[in-house]
Amino acid sequence: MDYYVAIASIVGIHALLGLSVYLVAISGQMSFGQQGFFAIGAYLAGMGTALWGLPLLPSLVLGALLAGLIGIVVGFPALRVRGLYLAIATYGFGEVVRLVFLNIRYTKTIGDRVVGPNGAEGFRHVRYVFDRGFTGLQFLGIIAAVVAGVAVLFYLLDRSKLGAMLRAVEEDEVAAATVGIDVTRVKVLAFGAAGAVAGLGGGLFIHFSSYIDHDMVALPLAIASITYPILGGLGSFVGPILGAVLLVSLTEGLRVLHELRMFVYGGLIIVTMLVRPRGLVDEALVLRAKRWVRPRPMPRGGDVP
Amino acid sequence: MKRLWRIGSVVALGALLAWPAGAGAFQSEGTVRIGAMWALSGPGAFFGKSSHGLASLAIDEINEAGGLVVGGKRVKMQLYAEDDACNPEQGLAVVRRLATVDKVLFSLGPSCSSVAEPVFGTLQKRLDDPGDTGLQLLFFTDTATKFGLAKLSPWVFRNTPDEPAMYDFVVKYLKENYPDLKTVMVAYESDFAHSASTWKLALQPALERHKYHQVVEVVDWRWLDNEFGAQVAKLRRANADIYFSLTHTPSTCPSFRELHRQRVKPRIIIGVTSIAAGEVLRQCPDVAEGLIAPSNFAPITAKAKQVADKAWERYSADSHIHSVPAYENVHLMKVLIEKAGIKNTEESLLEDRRKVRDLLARVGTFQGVVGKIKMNPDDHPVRPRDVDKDMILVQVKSAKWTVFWLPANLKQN
Repeated sequence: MDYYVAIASIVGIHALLGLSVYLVAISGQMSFGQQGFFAIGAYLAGMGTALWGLPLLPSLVLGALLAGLIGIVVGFPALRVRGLYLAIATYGFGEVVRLVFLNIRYTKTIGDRVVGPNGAEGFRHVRYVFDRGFTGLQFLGIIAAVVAGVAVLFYLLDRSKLGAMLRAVEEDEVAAATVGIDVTRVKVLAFGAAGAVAGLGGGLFIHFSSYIDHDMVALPLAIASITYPILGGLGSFVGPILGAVLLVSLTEGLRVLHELRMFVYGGLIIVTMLVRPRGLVDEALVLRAKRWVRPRPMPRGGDVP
Repeated sequence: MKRLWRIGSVVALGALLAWPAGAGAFQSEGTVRIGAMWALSGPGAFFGKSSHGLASLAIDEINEAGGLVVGGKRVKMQLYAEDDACNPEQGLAVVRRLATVDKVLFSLGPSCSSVAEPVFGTLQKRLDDPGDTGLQLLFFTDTATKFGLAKLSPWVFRNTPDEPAMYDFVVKYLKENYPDLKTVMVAYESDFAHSASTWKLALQPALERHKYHQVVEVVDWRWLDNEFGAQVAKLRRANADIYFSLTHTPSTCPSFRELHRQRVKPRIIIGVTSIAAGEVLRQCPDVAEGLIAPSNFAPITAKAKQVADKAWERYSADSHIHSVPAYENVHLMKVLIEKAGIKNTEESLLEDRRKVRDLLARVGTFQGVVGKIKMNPDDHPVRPRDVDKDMILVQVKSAKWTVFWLPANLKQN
């Protein structure tokens, strides 16, 4: 049971990372640096419970807030570049964060443990969850609640004016500006909110794993985070969640294949992208689903052919 | 295309359904389950596969000799080896799989210290405290070497090198035997926990303690980098007498080629402990000539030669400082399991793990492949549940690892 609970927990944490990339993507931007926000959230939330004795919730909020604020700061210079250039610039941000955590030392000796970010040694002993007697299932409940809360916000965003503005900016910035949308504000807001979502994921992660180091927030995490929305699709917020479910489940589910595991894993991703080049939940599928749920009303007054 | 999509979906679904792969087996079916998590794929696979081979050899030997006696019945050892790919997140899932799906009595591994950190961090910290919900799974690690890992949980025991002591000895040895060699340059992998900790927690403190050598250059790179021109140029300018190459084979061989190309010729090159294995000999025997490494294993006794030959013959597994402990651990655990009086049932699993853990904490000295090994007890002030064992210096000569220095007690053997 614990095994499946652990996999579900990892899925939940990675879904937040995928949603963070999705939020930036639907404003027409490409970020390769969300792992940086994830790291900020993780380290700060970890310091909250392990060093400052805060409860879990305020620590998570603190991590998400700082990641969000830094997201806003990063959002401004990011306005000057687009596409691949933006991807490289944001990856640079992620690397800066990683290197900061590689060098930062802020530790306290608690009993026989040296707790806190300790440079290349990493950040050990974030044992709030285990020391407070949380079971894996209970912590999964917390993760699920956070993911559900964020998903509800995304659902509302999709149906809000702001959501429409984000999509408009994604489609055509110039056209969006001409109809009065403040493109700068929309893009910066997207970066800030995405940073907060990634930071929330990081905060949950460090409490799940009890440890983090700079190497765990490096390029492979950046690639994974961008793969979830690309594979899952950008048509709806369900896409990145589905992408995370599928990819994390496959990594574990294919264990029966032993050494062939990663070959098959790569092969399945290629096949999926060939068959669904715009992701599993693309715009067309979302449109079809909407029509299915709410069929178009019959035109009034006219004859039905 | 639709058909392809359907086939892909079926494969994926099949894989997902195949998750609970642990088949039922305990005392009633005549087996004791032992687990392992190693890097069996990815760039760290060399270490994981060699540990897998040496552990499998030990299990073969035990099973071929009739197995082990549990509750008056002869049972066989069955290995559940899982791949963590040297990835911390996969490790966090695998440890729970071993504990609750495979339901193993104890686990070997992991290979990578970066995986061991979060995995050991999620184990129970306070024995007998029901309020501590950390996992209760016994680890007897063969490879993850980073200093201090066994302190993370009383469920962790390691048969791994004591690197601070080894590099302290190396620095002292160089000071006494090569007093004219005073300048030192160092290379390490900044993203590899073992490499970075060897520099920061073992070698650097040793150099500072002995106050003899002068560190004139320290360079770093990532362990899967393949371009070292700039760093080696710095080493060339430093032109130190002694070069500590604290890197693993994937970056060691190409960096040595670059040293060769730029004609950097330190008088002595000392490697990281993990380098003393067959991989470096297969990949770059020419440029590794003369390389010295601290180790705990070399085929210097009849038993050691026999183990190394059999492991290679049966499993193409390399016998080295990290893989041979897997062999030693399995043999020791066989003895402890027989002594512990376990019931070996699914219901008694937690109790059985605890019994074996407590025995391992009190085991004291046991026989290794090369010499005696001493397991530190729970209350050891510095290195609880870690071992003390003899150190050897080995050197690459004519594409072979040869003994460079042996302690007096091993010379007598």
